[in-house]
Amino acid sequence: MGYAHGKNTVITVDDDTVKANTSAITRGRKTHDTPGYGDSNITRDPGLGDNKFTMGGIYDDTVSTGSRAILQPAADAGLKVVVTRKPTGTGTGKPLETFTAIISSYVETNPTDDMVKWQCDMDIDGGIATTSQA
Amino acid sequence: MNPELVREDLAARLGTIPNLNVSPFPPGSISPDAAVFQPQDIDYHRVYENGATAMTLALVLYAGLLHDQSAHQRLDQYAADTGDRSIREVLETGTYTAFDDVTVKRGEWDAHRVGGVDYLAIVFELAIFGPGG
Repeated sequence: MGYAHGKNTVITVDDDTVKANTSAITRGRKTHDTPGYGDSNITRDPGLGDNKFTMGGIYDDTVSTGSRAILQPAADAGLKVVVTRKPTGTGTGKPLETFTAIISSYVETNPTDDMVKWQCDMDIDGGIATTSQA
Repeated sequence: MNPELVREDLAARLGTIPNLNVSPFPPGSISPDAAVFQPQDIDYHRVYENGATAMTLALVLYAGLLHDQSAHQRLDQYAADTGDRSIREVLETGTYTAFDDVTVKRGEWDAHRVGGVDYLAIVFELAIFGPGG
């Protein structure tokens, strides 16, 4: 195997497949400065993990399973959602990531000369479980 | 998205305009007023897992000879943004199964030659989106 194309990516939120066309996951970590007298450079120690997930797409008005139907209620209510991410698509042995997240922002954009689009940012609650698909 | 079904869906909708001959595919000859669909390009992978496709179609609407004032007046009706002969209004208010959305983005007046004859025409640019179904 070699390079992977993004077109096969699969994202689900609470078991509903989200029709996105872009997404990104950020594995972040706080760091703490620990310099002392005599140091010429800042020394650091790792802190807590701080993970983020973003995705976006074209507005889908399908009742109950469209992008708005899936994401807007969770955003409005501040609910935690379970997200799965298959970065290279569905298939045995391919990576599968699972995490719980809170929607920190959900934005819909309505240009007059283009499709309605949406953008969703999530703060991940805890860690990201990474496994291989069966 | 099946381009053939897209053409047929759009042609059926345009067929509701009285006295307009509609061809989903370019014919060998035309009898104005005539509308012909010409696909321009197709973009796949607009949504993950081949969830949606976008197409651009040119709709060429022929209304008569270049010096024919009545042809100019009829084209003006097709080019109007509203009205029962408005291409924009008729297509954008239709109900379709081959795609989710059609937007008539612009129209450009031109002379088009068919069968050795120069016809007054407008070329409408149509943006098609969706999987349909």
